[in-house]
Amino acid sequence: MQSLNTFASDYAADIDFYIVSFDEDAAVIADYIANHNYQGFTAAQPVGTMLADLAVTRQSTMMALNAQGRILHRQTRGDATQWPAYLDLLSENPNAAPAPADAQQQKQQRRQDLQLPS
Amino acid sequence: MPKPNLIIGLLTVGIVAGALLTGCQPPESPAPTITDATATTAAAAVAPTEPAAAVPDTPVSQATPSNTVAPATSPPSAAAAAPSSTDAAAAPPATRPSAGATPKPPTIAATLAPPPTDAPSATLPLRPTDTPAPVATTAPPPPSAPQGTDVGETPPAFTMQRVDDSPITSADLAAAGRPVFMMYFATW
Repeated sequence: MQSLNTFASDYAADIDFYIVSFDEDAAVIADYIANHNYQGFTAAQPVGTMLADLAVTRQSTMMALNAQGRILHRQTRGDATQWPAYLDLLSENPNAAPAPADAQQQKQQRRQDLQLPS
Repeated sequence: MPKPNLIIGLLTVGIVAGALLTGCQPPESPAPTITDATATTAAAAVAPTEPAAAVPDTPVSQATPSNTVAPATSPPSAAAAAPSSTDAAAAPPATRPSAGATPKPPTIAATLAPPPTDAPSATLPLRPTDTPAPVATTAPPPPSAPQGTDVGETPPAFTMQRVDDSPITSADLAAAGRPVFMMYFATW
């Protein structure tokens, strides 16, 4: 299982990394970043209705925005195996946007993930 | 031996007469035209207010009917003061026509006064076509993506707070022009 802290620092020159913590105390996530070697990550906390506005309902949720603020890829749970490909894309082209077919497929997958088991 | 004042007077009269014979305007004539700039400059260069010692002897001998007057009465100091002007004006003596045929002295203007290159054109008004076209100062906005939380969409505005209590907004991130990776996480 590949973890973000093993390769995120390779893209720190081109991409800004944030860990947005649900913890009430910001110092907790700061210690976590230091102890688990998340180099290059900036610890932050959500303000206001940020989590609801971005539909972050589970942890952990990962999201990549291109330089224009457009969502290139988002993922809930799972490992980080597929992320190097997207980070490579953003490093080469900061304004990279998903293909319409890929966006539609991810949208349908997300709808299925959000459905409660019957 | 004639008096210097008399020689200067004769010189002046000869120069003005030569200019009038060639069709040049006297210095007190109306405003010069652009097409006659060379002749006007030549006339101004030999105006009576110019010191006679500064006029080279070679062109003067062309303008005056009495060719022997000017070289004989030119002070030696004047010839020594402007040898280059005289040499430049008299550079092609073999090809120069006789004094009576072409008394027009363009070389005086070339050596004594700068050519009126910018004077007439500087006063001409700019044509409307010469004005530069207005340039757009703002770049066109990028194609907007639909707002939402799915892939390919632009999420609504949000605000985060760093550990050092400094806020950062989605507008700040967009202004930075760099891609952003966010992981929403908790230790519990």
